[in-house]
Amino acid sequence: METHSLLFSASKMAKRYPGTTALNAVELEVRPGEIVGLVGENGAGKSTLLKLIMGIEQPTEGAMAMRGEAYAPRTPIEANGMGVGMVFQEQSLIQNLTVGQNVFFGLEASYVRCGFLDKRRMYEDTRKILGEIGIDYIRPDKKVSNLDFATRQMVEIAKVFSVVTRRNAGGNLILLDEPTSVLNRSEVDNLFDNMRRMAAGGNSVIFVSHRLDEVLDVSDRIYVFKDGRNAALLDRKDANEAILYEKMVGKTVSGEYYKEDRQAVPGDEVLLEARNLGRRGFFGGVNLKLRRGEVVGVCGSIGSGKEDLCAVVCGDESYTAGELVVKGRVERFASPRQALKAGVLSIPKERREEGIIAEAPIYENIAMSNFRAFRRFGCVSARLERENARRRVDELSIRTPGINQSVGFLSGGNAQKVVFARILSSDADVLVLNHPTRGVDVGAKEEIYSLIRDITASGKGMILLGDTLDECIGLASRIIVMKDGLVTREFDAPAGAKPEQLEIVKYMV
Amino acid sequence: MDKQGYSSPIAREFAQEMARRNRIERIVGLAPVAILAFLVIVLSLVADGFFSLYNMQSVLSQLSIPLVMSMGLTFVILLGGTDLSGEGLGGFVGSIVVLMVLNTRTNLDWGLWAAVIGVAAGLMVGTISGFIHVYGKMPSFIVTYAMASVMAGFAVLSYRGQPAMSKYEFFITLARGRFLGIPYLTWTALVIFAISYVLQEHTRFGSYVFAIGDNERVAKNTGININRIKILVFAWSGLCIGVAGVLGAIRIGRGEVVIGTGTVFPAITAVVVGGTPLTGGKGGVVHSLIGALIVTVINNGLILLGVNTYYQAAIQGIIIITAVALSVRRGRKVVTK
Amino acid sequence: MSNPAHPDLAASGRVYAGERSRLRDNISRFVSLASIVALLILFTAMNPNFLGAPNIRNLLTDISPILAMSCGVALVLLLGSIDLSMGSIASCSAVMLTLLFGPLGWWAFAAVFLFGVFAGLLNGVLHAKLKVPSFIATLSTQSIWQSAAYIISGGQPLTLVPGNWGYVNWVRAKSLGPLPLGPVPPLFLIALAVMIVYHIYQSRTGTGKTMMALGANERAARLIGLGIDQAKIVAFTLSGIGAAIAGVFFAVKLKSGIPTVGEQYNLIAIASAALGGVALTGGRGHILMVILGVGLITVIQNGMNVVAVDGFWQQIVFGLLVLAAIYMNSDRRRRDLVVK
Repeated sequence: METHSLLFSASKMAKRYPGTTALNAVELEVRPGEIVGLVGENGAGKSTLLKLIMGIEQPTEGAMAMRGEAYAPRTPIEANGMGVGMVFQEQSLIQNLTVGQNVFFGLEASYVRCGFLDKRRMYEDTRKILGEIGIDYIRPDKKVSNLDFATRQMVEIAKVFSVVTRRNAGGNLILLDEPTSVLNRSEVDNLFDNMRRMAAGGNSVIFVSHRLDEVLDVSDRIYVFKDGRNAALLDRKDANEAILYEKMVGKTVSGEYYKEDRQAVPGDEVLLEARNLGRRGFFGGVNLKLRRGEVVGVCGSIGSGKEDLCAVVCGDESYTAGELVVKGRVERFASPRQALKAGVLSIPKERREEGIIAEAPIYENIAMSNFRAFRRFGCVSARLERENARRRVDELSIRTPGINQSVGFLSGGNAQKVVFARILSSDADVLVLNHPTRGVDVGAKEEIYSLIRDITASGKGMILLGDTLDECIGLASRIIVMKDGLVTREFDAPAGAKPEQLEIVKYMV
Repeated sequence: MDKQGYSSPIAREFAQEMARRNRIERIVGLAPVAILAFLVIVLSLVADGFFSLYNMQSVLSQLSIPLVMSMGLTFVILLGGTDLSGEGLGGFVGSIVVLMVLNTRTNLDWGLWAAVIGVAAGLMVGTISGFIHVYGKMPSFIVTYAMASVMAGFAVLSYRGQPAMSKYEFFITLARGRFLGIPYLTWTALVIFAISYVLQEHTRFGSYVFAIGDNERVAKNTGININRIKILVFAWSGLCIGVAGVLGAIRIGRGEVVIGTGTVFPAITAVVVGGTPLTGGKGGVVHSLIGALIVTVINNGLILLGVNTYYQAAIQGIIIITAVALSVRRGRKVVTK
Repeated sequence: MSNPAHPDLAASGRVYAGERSRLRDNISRFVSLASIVALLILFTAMNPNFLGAPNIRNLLTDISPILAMSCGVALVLLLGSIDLSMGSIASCSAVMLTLLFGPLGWWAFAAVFLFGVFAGLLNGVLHAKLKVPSFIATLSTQSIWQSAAYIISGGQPLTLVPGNWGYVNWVRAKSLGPLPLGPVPPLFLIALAVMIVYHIYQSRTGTGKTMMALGANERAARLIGLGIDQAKIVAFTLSGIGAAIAGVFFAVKLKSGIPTVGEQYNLIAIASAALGGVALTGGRGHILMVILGVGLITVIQNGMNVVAVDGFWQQIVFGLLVLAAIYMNSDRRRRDLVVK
């Protein structure tokens, strides 16, 4: 095989979705035997780029090359065939098969004799592969379900390694997406040793993590992404955490964009209070007070526990420690319905899957969190539902041909406004906003910000998980920062005196 | 960073939680064997004649049909699907087999070929069900439920309302004979069990079935032809039902649709009680063997204790609900339909 | 990473499917209606008595129990679940009613109604609270109630003693007070009333609307704050009540309690609901349209009887009809759909 100075390159990569641009003119180069770190805030485009490299999605623009040849996989299998493999965040091992069966899953053909699987030979080869990446203490005939989490992660890597090295002797590319989030230090060290060993064998690794110390520890070069673009490229010797922070944080948009002048001053009444709240294995020791008219922003990376905190507050999950007090009463919600009865309602992250009934008409969707209010003679009156819907559609300027339209037909921004209309029509005064502007186009975003200001002005309180850090700072009047399931810092964010992104990021990673 | 090197106490909790769940799962995995042992001990104490050679032989003989049925069903349930076609399909195969051997209604005398054709018919109908399920994107339970009705109709159609009696000597020998004290019918069932075990453990097919049940998307992304595997599973289930139908015909010596009646329920019970959850992905044929033994021992015990046979189906119903309710994942976000 | 960052694109496929699904609803209803008309013509041509007043009365009498059952199961199907226990609940009800006239008199009807409530409630709790998949929960209870029917009746059909005929003679009433009913039997009126009540409940109450919403998207319905478990339990309870009413109809019509009378009607009820445009995957369908499916099924059944086709053909035809009806209503366009 001809040797090239570059193993992999991607140039001018772009990925656009209707209304949003996830990736724009991104460049990436990987040399043989190199470990490349990839860092950036949530939504900076890291995951999107990995998807494009693996052929899970196709780029809108741009070209990639592997070993100097054009590379445009349409499926992960094609990518594997070209020597590119990925260890996914959510593990893809089959729990009730053995380690060996998993390592060679889908590649058993060469071990089949007269229709039967030659397991012994398969396990021998598994042992070899495990040895190659230094984890030969794992027995190939053990079921994956009997292994601990860290070992599974290693098996996963061995599997990817076996897939990509199969057709290509050396010079393969392995992508690792946040592989260290559940490992302890010695396991992480072990993983890094394996990565270095793979690199020494002429393979390259792209390592994505939100833990900067780890990235600095293992990478040769570090790419920083920001808002779907390249923000910086640093050699390890030139990089330290402070520099990375600075390059990572996105552009700070003017306070005007977030209608900062309309930020409500919190009242005195405490709507919701978390006292030492915890959910075993997800987060713990959270103290938090939400007052009328207040927006409390929760910042943190993936796995920081902020999503789980959200789920507990809105009744989707239960807590195991501390207590949750809503308007002076200790509550233990068994379901979101109970939470709603106490006045807590959420705008979920995945709008299509969690926020709307796509098949149902707009007017029904708007009424759904409060059928009681539309009753007449004991029955839900479609007339009352429609009257309310018409009013809300005007009020929020939802662009739709009519209120009988299924919500599924609406664009992201308009569908999200229907969700807001539903919440406004309910009696809830504690709102949990989980990425309220996710997948919403720019115009609708501003309308939603303005809406959030109106809602807080009316005396409701909000817990906000922002789509970006900037948005979270811009909208919140107070910010708590979470990391590894614990609150690391609390900031006041009154209008006109917002904390800097850089300062917050330091407590996040 | 704490002593064990976790970045936070929460991460340590998470690791502990995972380890705890693993331990519990391992203990729960042993439950079926414990239940079987418990039943045998209790029945030996309370039911006269339970712990006798004669009764053990009769347990083994009663085991044959549920075991064969559950072997096919295990693979279907491992996928996360269900096959309810056994009632009708088993009855159909049993009916036509008797019509094809020396019998009171037709002039055919095809001997063992009748059994082969019967099993082939089962295989074919199973394949058709699988095909409709996969390409029609219709839930397997309703496809097979409807198929059961269709095949029950064809069963009665085949003998026009008057069941044929078998006059085939070899069937009579098979029905009564023993080898090493174990009835021939049970041997047949054990052969099916052995084949199932090899299929599950020593072929790609077996691995893929587990994979599809555990995580269909991963299996698909690996490039496995999922549809083909699914259809093959339903074909195998059809084949097992076919064998069960033939065994049923041999046993009662009459080709009637009732051969299939009441066979599916014990088979599902066996699979679920054995430890293969309805959601699929774990368990397997060895579990189902234990499950089939449990079901058979319970029925046998009830008969010995003189319980009205009408109660048996009801008791089975209660057992299956209990087993499923205990095995089901009850996380808040789990959606069951 | 696991969540696509592009809900709009992910949605576009779904939106398209939504548009198609409306079309499909209408198609299946049209097919049902057209088939009914075609079959009526066919059977009348084969036997001119088919559309005579006596046979219309027969037809409507036959429709009644199926309609009561189908409306019940339609609610369960809207959830995306299934009820396989209706047949044996009906059988059990029929047997109970026949026995209970002696000790309870008119109250026997109330007792059987309560039995239906209980049986349905049991299904609902098993499914909603214990999270047992509905097909296996109801398959189990079907086995339990079938056993109960056998045990209560001693395995034999029970005939209503002539002394108790007074409780069932209203079935043959030709008028409702001063109002002549013509060829419309009272049973049909009751079944119609059940359908209308179920329809109003489903479309005009919070719980009823929740059934539809959770059938379409349970995760969203939960987070919206709807009472998921309550809606499920109520749907199964109404299904149990429908089955018990059907059982009562069988008993009063035949003046006997046959322990297997409901057996074959489970599949028939599901087929009717599916032919009426209720999707097995949940969230789509209309209770009032179920009558079209029931009509079609009954015309086929009755027609086969009138032109004297053997009974086993019915099993074959109904099995195939279920497959066809569900195929018509199933959503095959979503590529990522996992069907188990």
